[in-house]
Amino acid sequence: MKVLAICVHGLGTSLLMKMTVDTCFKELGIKDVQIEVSGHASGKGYDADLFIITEDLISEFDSDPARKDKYIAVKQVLDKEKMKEKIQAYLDKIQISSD
Amino acid sequence: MIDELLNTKTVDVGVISKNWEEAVRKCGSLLENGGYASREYTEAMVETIKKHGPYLVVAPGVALAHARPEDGVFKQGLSLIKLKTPINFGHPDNDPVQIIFGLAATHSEIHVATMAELASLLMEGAEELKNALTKKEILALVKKFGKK
Repeated sequence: MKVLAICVHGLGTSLLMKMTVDTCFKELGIKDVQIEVSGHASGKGYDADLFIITEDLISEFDSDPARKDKYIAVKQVLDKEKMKEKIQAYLDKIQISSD
Repeated sequence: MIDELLNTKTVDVGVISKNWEEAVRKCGSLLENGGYASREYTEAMVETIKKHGPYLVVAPGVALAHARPEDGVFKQGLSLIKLKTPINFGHPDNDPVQIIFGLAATHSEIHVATMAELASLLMEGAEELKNALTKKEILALVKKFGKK
């Protein structure tokens, strides 16, 4: 599964998000996850199964048919428990079970 | 990494600022004085917030200010100021802010490693950081999360 953490520049918040996301997937027992980071305007910001984004990017994603059902917007980028809940809910939605 | 980058010259406590702009500029001047980034970089940090909003307040009471490497970074750097009186940045959930990190980011593995340590510090040491009153206490806490 390819996960892309996106913030404005791809250098600050997205790297913090990546750490949290990484821990979440480990604790959820899901392997085979690649997590990368990107700035929102970078061409890299399109190729993933799941996007983890900061709240200021919600409208950009909602208006993109290719990505509007594939993102999780995060309020607290370092809150592991909340992020695990959101990731689990997303995975339940697309029905992937852990290995 | 962070225990080297954050030292007595790049950390300041009891900082007084009238508003968030002034506070971010004080953070930036610590980076400037240490030769990590230019005055233009400090201004770019302020402009980023004006343009993109207060999402630099990444956790309750904690902000991470930065711009892009090409805005004027000389070398990877990190500064920290603890405000005497918390200031609002306009964030819907995480105001008011008491701790501001200034980040001179580079496109490098060093930067990625620095951010990983910073994430650990903020995930596990945020409360201690907010309770620390002196530079010494802050630096001792940072040392716990840094790996040379």
